[in-house]
Formats: sequence, C-alpha cells, structure tokens
Amino acid sequence: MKYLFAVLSFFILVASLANSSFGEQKIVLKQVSVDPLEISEARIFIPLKGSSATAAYAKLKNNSDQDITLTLVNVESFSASEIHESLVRDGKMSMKKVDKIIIAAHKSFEFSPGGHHIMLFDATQNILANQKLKVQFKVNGKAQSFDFNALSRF
Amino acid sequence: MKAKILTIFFSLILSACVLWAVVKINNSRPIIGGSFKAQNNGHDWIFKDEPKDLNLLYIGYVKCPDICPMTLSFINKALGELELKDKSRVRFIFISVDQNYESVQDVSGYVKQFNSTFIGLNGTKNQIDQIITLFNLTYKIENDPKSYLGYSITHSDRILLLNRLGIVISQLPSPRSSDEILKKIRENL
Repeated sequence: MKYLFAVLSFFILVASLANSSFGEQKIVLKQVSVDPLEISEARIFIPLKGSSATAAYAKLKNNSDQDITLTLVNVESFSASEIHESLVRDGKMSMKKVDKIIIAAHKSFEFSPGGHHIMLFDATQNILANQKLKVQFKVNGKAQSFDFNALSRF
Repeated sequence: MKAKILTIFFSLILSACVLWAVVKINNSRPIIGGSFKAQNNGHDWIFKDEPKDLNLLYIGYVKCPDICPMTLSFINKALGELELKDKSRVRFIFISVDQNYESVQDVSGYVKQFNSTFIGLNGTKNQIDQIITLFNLTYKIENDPKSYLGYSITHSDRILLLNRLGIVISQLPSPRSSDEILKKIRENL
C-alpha cells in the first residue's frame, strides 16, 4: 500500500511539473480587434411624399492613432448621395457640399440634424421602416460599408 | 406782455408735441406683414379668408433634407402639446420658394404628412416674391453644378408669428427646439 502511494505521488509530481513547464507560467494574451472607424446610431429617414431628397445621420468614432479621411461613395437604393453641411448665418439657412470629412485620432464626429448630414437623392425603390441600407465610404482610401437603419420621421 | 406769455406757452406745448411724436416714431416697430395670396393644392389661398388667432409662417423647400423637415417636426410636436382649446386657434403655413421644381401638390402633400392641419403653399415667382417682400424675408436660388440637384437655395430661417391680420407680432430664429416654439406660441396666444 505504501509502495502504491509512493508511485502515485511520483507520477502526480511529474505530471504537475510537466504541465507548469517546470514552474514557468504561460500567459496567452487574447487580441481584441477594434475597428478603426466605429459607427453608431446610423439612420436614414425614409423619403417623404412630394420630396425626392432625404438625409442620413450617424455618430462616428475614430479608434485609431491616425486621422481618418472619410469620403462618401454611394448609398444603397438611392441614385445619388452627397455629404452636405447646413449653415445658418445672419438668419439665413444654406447648405454646402462637403467633399471629405477628417476625423482626428481618437476623436468623434457626428452627422446630425442642423449640421453635417448625408443628403440622398431619388430613391430607386420603396424603402421600408427598419430596412438596412448599405452606405459605402472610403476610409483613408479603402472602401468600407456600414448598415444604416431606415426610419420614418413620424 | 400777455401776448408774449401766450406765445411762449404755445411754443412750449408745440415743442413738447413734436418731441413726443419723434420719440413715439423712433420707438415704434415698423409694421411688417399683412394678407397675401398663394396657391394651395391647385387653388388660390388667401390669408385673410381664414385667419387663425395665431399663424406661424416659415419659408423653405420640400427638397431641403435637413433644417426644413426638422423645423416642421418641431412645430408639429409643439402644436401637439398645446391645450385642446388652443389647438384650433393656431395654424402653421409653409411656403415653398422653389417654384421651378416643386408643384403645389408636392408642397401641400408634403406638409400634411407632418400634420393634417398644416397649410403648404406655392405659387408663381411673382406671388412668392410679393410674400417675401411683405414679410421682409429673403431667398436666393443659385446654380450648383457640383451637386446632383444642380442648384442650391439659401432662405431666411425664422418662424414668423402673425396675428389675424397677418401682421408679424413675434419671430423665432434658429436654432430652436419644440419647447421654445411651444413657449413662443403660448406667449402670443
């Protein structure tokens, strides 16, 4: 019995040493990938009757260490799309087309009502509430698509 | 002697009257507004035919994707929060300045999606320009070959509050929330 106990203890000791690589602990770091450009609250207002234009809005966050240059390529189900900025100056409202947006490293940017927005022209199909529409940007020159949720204004 | 005293007395009264008139004229605001005519869904629409106690007026265009629908949404929200007895005393009128590309049906149908009581007006360039001058507003349509739309519109961004005669009694510039619009309506009802 004593002999059996000694043999078992020996094997347990050998197995433990082997497992711990003779006391050296292995640390495995899990890599969590974060998108350089994060988009939230991405929404497109369903065009209203009588109007061929509508707008899309979203919050954008640059998670990277470099500035991001963003240009708009196209929006699914619309004939054309442009980045615009609404301006109110001296009591007058105007809009101007913007070619690109630059988001500084670790900073945020918002397409929001009354400010920058994505203007959409001539829907090519009937758009339904909660439909997901692909919006394609060029992020530092590389094409990237994001889902925008179609919403009714009412 | 008596004549001299009388002359001085009347001179003083006259001077006081002139002074009072000058002060009054300087302090009084110029009267802006009045009745006007435009087109609503294919028919003539004349302000004085059916004025409300309080009339809100805003100019814009239905292809405007941002500020105009936001303003209409805020006005709808503000009107929705009015007491029932006051709702029928207020009206909102939207006038499109994009006469070349927006039909009267477009404008009328567009605003009624926000609120069935909203009045959407359009008209000839002459009609619209008369309204713009009457209310001391401005708009400008410019070619914009860089944009898909091909043109851009700059317009006054103020909600005017009119009395039953169409006279401007107050106004609300941008930026404004639905709460601010509601407050302004209540102040002027």
